[in-house]
Amino acid sequence: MPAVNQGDAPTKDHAPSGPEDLLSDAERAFIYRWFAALFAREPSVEMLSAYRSDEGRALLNELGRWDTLAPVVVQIRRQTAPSEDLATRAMDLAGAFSRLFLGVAGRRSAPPYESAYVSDTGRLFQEPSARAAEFLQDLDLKVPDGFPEPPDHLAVQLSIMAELADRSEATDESISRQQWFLDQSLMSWVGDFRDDCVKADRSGFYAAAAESLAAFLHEDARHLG
Amino acid sequence: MPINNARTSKLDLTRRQFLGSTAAAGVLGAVAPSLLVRGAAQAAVMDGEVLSASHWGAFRATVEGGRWTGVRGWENDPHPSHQLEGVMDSVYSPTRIKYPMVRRAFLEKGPGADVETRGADDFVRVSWDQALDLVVKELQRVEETYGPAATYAGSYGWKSPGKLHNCQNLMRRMLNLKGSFVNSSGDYSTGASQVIMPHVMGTLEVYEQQTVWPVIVESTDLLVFWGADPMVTNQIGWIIPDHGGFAGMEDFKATGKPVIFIDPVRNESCDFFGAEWIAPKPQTDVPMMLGIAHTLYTENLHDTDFLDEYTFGFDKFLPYLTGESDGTPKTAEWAADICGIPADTIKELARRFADNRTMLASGWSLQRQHHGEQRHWMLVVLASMLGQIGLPGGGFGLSYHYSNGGSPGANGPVLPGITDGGTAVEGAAWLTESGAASIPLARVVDMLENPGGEFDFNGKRETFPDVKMTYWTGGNPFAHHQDRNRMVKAWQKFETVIVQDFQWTATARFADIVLPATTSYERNDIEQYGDYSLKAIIAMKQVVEPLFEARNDYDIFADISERLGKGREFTEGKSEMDWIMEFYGEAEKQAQAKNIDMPSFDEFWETGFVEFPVSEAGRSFVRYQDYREDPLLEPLGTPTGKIEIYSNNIEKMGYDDCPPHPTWMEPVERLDGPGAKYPLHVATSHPRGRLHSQLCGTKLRDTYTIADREPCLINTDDAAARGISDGDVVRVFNDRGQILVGAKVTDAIRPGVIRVNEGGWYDPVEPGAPGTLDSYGDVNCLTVDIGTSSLAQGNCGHTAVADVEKFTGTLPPINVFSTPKNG
Repeated sequence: MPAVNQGDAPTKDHAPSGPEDLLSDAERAFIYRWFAALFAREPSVEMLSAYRSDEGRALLNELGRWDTLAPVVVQIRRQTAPSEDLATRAMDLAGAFSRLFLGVAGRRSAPPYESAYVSDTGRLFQEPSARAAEFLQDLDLKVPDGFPEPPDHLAVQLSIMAELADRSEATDESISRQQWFLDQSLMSWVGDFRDDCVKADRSGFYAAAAESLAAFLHEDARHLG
Repeated sequence: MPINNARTSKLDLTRRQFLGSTAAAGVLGAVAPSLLVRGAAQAAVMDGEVLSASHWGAFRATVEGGRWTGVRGWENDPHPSHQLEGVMDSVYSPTRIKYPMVRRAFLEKGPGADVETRGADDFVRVSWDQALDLVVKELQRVEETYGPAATYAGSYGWKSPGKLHNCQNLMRRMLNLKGSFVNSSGDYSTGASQVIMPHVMGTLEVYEQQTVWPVIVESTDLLVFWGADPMVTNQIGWIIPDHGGFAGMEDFKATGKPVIFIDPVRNESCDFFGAEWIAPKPQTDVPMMLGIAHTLYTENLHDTDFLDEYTFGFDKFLPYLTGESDGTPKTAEWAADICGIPADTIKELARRFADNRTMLASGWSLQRQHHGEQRHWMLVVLASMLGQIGLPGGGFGLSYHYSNGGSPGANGPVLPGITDGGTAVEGAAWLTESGAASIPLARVVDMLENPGGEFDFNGKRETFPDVKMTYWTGGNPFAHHQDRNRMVKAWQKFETVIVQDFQWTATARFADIVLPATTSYERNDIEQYGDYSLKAIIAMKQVVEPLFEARNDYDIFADISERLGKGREFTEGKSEMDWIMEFYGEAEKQAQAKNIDMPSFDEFWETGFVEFPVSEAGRSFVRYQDYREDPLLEPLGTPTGKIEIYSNNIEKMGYDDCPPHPTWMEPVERLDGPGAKYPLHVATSHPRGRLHSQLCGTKLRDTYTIADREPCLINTDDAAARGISDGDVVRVFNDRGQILVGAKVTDAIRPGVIRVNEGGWYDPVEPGAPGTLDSYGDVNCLTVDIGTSSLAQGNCGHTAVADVEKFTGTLPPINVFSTPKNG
């Protein structure tokens, strides 16, 4: 089915992908990194402007060709349409981001941390954050001071996947490492996280982003499997 | 990834070309800058066990790889609180304030914009620099535009302990450097009692050491708790609780001597002691006490010698008691009609009190009611008639339920702390006087509604200032203040509301600028152990690194002061550890004068604590023993030097709602009272699983919620009459508000009374909408917001009547906690 029809409502149905559609590891890394940024922090006016540029449009066109990514691409297009005032849209998204991910809206939110979903207390900084910290250590990576979030923040975990994809080799070890991290650190909770976003997001933007992410992870898991 | 087969190979080629192209890399850099950087994190993370402390007690925190993973009570604490688990939760809660935030309309349109949307408007993250610039701009704008009495910084609440990171003192220290502000006096705990007691006993009474537990265990024959639940409330302390009250209560229980609880609820402490339970109608304690007093008098059981020698004005009170002055003798029968306790029981109590060495231990619920001043005053009169004040195990006590009053004391030094630059007031650490003006703190909404209006307070007639902004830290008025709906509206008068806290309290949600502070466990501090015993000094060591962008209160206010050009004056050039060492040094000097050895600071910091032995005097302390032994050399601090049953000073004030001797006056509303509009009284006692509203956002909620909401105790008959079953969601409502809570049907509460603990987090279904349903159970949606009287102007958090019904509508979600799926 055509994935990109501007203005289409986001769809939850994803056509199965065939083996001929496999993404390259570089492309996977690209998309993981792109998702990481969507959830790392509110988009700035500059970011929104970049989407409005020719290169940005080209990027959205490319990404939007995949069903899984279509919902969020549609949202970004809407937010950055020529008629929109980007400063206002950035404010809207910042407000939505704060409600969902920064604790402002209390229970009607979606804490973007694995710990919040997999620990029985709902506490942050639980075992998943230690696991992610170890993974970062192994990869000789760290979360910079400018991003004072625990290592099991969704954006960090997606960045780790981007890094693993980037370093991917056609070996069983490399693939199983990616499978393991994806299963352990993302598949285990992103479905629930998406549900919370869908329930709580008034803007529609992050609900779409979370839907796309969950679908993408699902396909990537199959792709790796 | 699916590929649309209908697409041309050209598009496919474009894809391949584009995602790998330089252009794509460029745009990715712009929309998705790389998050991670090369190089492993430094391994200098904390590991091991750290001793720290809190309102819930001292504890050892287990830290693994820089994460706080476990907590256990300090080994020297005889009764660690189960709430320590919740302390950990509060640090790692998803509702932490993570970054400086500004309400959107405020950011876009400036101060005072769309104030009616507070509580519902979006918040937007800003940088610390941006946030502090905005704070300073507002402080200066308001002072320049409206003058010094336009910034309300009464900021009350249970800020965390610690002699340095005392956020309220630090805030007022900064504001004193800036210019001035409107301060507040008093507190929500003892608003009425702490004003009346100085007239009656010459001291605050409520915050003072009690006759100690070993003496009670030895000498008290009959222990009476009147409106108190000490097993619940002694878990917490204003500084670091030593939990000595639990040891005392356990020892008393072991003697098998009788204990009576007078309370509409058969509370946890009553069950602990296996005590007798007498359940009068709420707010009718004065008639019940008068009935007892009348019995003592008519049966000649009162101690006339004591009354003559140690009290003033019994003769002026007597005509009221006998009815000579108003035609109504305050007989046990008269009292029975009002309080619902049979006259025989009242008389029997009088005889038992008189026949035994009796300790009348009262909680503070009695005085957080309309005309609350009268209840403790009347209790003192009762104790005076019994004549046991100053004898071992007899008399009255107003702090056995609080901060472990009666825990035997040490003769150790007293740690100083950071000051706000104002003048300290004897008696209670937070009662300082500074600022351009001051209001009795529970009158904050009156002030907002009525700028320029006059009010009475303890003999003075004063004027409400016209405030335009507030800065709140270390407190959650959207929990502790009464009549929430009225308050939400009144709050709109503020052009600017700044809240500095560590989590998204309801107050933070109704603010304009929100600054993230660290918890106590992300910084170093020092504090004393044992509110009354002062048995140790504890190093409150940092457990984990500051989370997110949270900063220490000290650093935040130092930065603001710096921007005001007063940085040096604020810090005096001292760092966190400099101050801590200085406070310790002051304690060392006192210890030296007392010939007490203290380890060097370094040794102390390494060990984590220094203890001081309980002294012989501390172990045998009897309150008012000195006065009893020598009333002339050790007079009380009252005008007559005696216990004032009649107060000439209060008489001069001429208040019709606070006459010069204890008097029964109908409260504005009560169960079965004249014209009572609703059939049930709402008791709003302190909860077992939190400190007021603190820790409501933690897993401790699992220990008490019903249907995911605050529990509502309701008597079996009252429930049956309304078709309510255990576990039902019910709506409690009156003219002021409505809340949803979970029914706990029980016979441990008297008919006609329901109980919803105070401190449940406010969770409006439609924030800002008048009368909106509260989805979780903030009982202050139902309580009245009037002063106790012209004298004290305390809060009336225990005055409310309401009705309850089974809730049959669609349940609104609870929004106030960030509880993930299934949480």
